[in-house]
Amino acid sequence: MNDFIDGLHWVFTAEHWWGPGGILAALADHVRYSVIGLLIAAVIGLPIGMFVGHTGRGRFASTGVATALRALPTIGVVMLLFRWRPISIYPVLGALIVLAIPPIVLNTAAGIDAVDRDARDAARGLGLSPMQVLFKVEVPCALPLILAGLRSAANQVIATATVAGFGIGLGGLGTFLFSGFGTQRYEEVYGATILLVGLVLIVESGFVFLQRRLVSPGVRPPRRWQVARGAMADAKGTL
Amino acid sequence: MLAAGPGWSGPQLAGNWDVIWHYAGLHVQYTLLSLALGAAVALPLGYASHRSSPTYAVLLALTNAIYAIPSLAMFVLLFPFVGVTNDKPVIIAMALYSLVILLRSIVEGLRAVPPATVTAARAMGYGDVRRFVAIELPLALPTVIAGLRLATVSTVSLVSVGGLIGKGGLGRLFRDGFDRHINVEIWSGLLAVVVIALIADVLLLGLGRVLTPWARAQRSSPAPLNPPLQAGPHGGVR
Amino acid sequence: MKRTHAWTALALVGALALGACGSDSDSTSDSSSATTAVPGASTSFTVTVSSGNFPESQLLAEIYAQSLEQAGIRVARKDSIGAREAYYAAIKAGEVSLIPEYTNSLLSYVQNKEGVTATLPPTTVADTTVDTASADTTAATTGDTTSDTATDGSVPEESNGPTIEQQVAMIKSILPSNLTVGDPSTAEDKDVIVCGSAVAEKYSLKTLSDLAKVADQITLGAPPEFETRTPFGLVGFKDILGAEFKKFVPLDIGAVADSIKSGAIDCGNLFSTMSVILTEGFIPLEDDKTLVAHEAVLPLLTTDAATPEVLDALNQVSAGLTTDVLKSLMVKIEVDKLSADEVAKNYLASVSQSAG
Repeated sequence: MNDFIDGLHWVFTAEHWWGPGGILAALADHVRYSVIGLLIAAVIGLPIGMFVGHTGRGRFASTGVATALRALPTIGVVMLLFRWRPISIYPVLGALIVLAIPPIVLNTAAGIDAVDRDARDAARGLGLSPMQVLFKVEVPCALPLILAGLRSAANQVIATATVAGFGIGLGGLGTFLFSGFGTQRYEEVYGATILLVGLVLIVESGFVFLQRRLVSPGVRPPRRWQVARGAMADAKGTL
Repeated sequence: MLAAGPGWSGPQLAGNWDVIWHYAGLHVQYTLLSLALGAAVALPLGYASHRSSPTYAVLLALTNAIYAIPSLAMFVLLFPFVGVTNDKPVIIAMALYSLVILLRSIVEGLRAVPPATVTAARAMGYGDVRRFVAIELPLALPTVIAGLRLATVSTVSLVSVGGLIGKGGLGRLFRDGFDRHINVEIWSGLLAVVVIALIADVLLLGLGRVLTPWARAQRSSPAPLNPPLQAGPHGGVR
Repeated sequence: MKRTHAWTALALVGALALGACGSDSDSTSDSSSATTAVPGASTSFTVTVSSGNFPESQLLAEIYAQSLEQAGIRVARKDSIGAREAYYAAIKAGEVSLIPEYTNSLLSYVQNKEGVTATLPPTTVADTTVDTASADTTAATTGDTTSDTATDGSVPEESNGPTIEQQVAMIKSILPSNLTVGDPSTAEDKDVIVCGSAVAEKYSLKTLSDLAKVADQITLGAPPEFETRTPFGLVGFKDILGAEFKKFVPLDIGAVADSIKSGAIDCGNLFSTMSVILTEGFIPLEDDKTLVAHEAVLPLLTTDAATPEVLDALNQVSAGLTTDVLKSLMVKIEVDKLSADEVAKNYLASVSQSAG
């Protein structure tokens, strides 16, 4: 616990924040990598998820690929990409994208797939084209799950962006973890972990806010029993 | 075994299959032990959470927080308790990381059990524990297995970090391949991990089907997609 | 390795700080038997060999192991154990009986770990005090140098501080009672600063002093410990050489070479036997102010395992091992990427051939 207090101390010491090796610079890098990684993953993952959910095709392939991507160990990916392009953003981005795509694709697909048949029928009945059905009806209805996927991906990305500082010298909060261990300055390690958790919390609340604003009131987050029943049905379905 | 390091010889794959095989075996051992430990802890926690919502909230927050701790930091935290030279830090760390996924899936699964069935069981005279074990758990199985699959894939991936600190598993191939600039070795390690994860996933899928024969009828109809249980803020290795 | 891989060091330094090193011998996944040496009963006497988690240590361990086997001693091999914190704890607890080590690093580590200061045995040169606080042994202010006929005999390796013999004596004096060391070899693997050839040419860099002059234009990469280390570290470079670098990038030792190659850093901290120095044409800078102490290879073993036969075999290995030999073996490991097992076998075969 002492170290934890030291960590808090370290975070709240003003001089640690400025300068090229300071907390602010590290945070900036960290956020930058996280945002870019998440954006690219979303650009790739959202369309794929929407396709799979909307057409119902490629389910098996997408779950298989998602599992495979989930299984890829991040350090392995980072090391491999590092051999290819040392001290560049590729090792970090590559790892982050690999990590973020599965939750985005799977949640988007599941969300769209779970949209009420009736809503879809009604939309077609109103004369909307498939694309219009997708974007005007299915996506808004699936928004809670889509956002959940993005949220899960964001969390993973923030946590894993530490790898940029882990011995490949690219900045980010991981640098403090790395240096702190190496020089036995544990307050840096604890401090950086505190900052990381703080970052995650901020992002989490950001998503909660987004959820409230973006999700149409008609698409309330499902009640407990609905989730449970849905989970059971879906889970059984995959068996 | 022949030598202290992975006996990878040469910049090519040929002739090194036995090395991959050896470390793959260790990797599987680690995974199994970690999952067994994680499941053993998650079951009672799940039971408690199911009985009491506040408990669930607390446990969920706790396990999520644990999940957020970077793996190497976790090892360091564990060293004073379990020692530096054995495998316990890796196994315990992996078990801890699996908790958040397993706990959620157990609780969600239990919540999915139709209340009517529970009431009927109680009316038939089933005691609490017996009802839990004989009625609720089996009905919760589909969701639990889904969570177990996720936890397994995640654990298989994370066990590689242990290899960095010299604790067996395919992670050693990453370290050695990186140090000696043998790209094929890193590749092989990566692919081996993915293969193990996929095989485990399929096996658990099969296990789930075997254990839930009553769901067979539902399986014949087109399956709706499974919204994946949130894996929390942690994915790969930090 | 004397300077642990950052990634491995990260995980294990915590145990050091908290002072607890539970020596639980529960090992579920190490495949080979972990029988430790049992003296006396020669039929069951087995030496358990292990190493640190990096190629050179693994090679040395295998050379030791095979030479013991050639001498008719039973050997069990254990997977490499990670950074020094881990393997030192393992050997101290008797889980393994033999590990390759390096004089200066071992000396510093044991002093730190056991909390003792080794006093310099009164043999040669002037006062050399050993500082427990820093990670290196430091020489007195006058920059004592001692040299050994290391390589082919013609160019002595100069180093800071005590001679190898003195180091060994100091080590023996502070090791716990169940540990000892064998004879040191003349093979050394030291910290070295290398620069990319273009950078070296641009600033005409040959020595560390040259580097110090242009430090404010140089980006330096090294494992994180380098930041606070003296004399061979940022602190030492500043104090002794007056060098303040433009930028310091903490890196995993395995990433330094690639980083220099890609130009991301100008110069970096490597180890002198790494073959990448040769293959990439890096320019190692001469340690003209002799900041680095001797890092001779020597075997660390439990007293139980240190029977005359074992010591004999190990000392023979040490006698034949020179820095050049070690470098050439590392080329086979790192460039040809052969396994430690093969390289050790070929090496020992060639040694016994030339010994006739």
